[in-house]
Amino acid sequence: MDIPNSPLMSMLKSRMSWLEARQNVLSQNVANADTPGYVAHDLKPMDFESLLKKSAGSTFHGGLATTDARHIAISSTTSGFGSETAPDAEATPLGNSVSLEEEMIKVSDTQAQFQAASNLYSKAISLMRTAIGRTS
Amino acid sequence: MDFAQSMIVAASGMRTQAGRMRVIAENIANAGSTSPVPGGDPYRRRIATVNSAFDRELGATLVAPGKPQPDMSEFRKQFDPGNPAADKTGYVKLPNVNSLIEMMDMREAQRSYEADLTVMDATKSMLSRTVDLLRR
Repeated sequence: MDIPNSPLMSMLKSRMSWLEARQNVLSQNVANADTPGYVAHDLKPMDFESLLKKSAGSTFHGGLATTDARHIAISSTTSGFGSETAPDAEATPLGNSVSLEEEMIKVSDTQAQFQAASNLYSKAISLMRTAIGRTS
Repeated sequence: MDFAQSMIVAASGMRTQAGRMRVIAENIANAGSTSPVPGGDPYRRRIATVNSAFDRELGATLVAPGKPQPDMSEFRKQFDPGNPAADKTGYVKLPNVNSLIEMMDMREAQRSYEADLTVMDATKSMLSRTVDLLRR
């Protein structure tokens, strides 16, 4: 059995990389909070069904699958998660639609979700440890 | 690594706000700078600008402080014949700096800086959570 690629582990892994990518998008929004004409972005919410389908088969990279040794893996800088424009509630006269308050809420939400995912991951690891007869 | 990317983006935002703060400090410091020659123009207020560009290598939208633009609004005039900068009619041109506007700009820069800092903090805690998984 391939433990790191088991459905539970790989789903948590892809959840964590989605949250990581979202944090990246949010940090771009906050950095551009004073750029005229900038429209806030956000990631598309994770789709549980397609995630389940992908994780049941093979590892989920969030992008193209590398089925051959000569295939080039998708670079780490481009996450496969689609980002879309998601203007916040208000826009300034200069056309900037980043509301710092809303972004802060999203950032702390992402942080909490990540904490939950990483806690689940460590729980899963300790389950495995119990299975092999070690008490941690 | 996406977390490093978020950090770099947040840092670019902080750098931009610091540059903006520098321009504001310049304006406040020169709020009373009259012309060195009689009848000449005094210090002209400068407006901080933001350059936002997509960084291909990083795959994210970074911000950088732009070239400060001069504020072309009217100078204030004061009747003060004894002043060395006074023109023939006895009027002195004073800089078009409004300290209230500068204070407000400063607060805004401070707020954006804090928001960038919060994002950085959140990213850092997510990163350390991931590293903590190794300790199990």
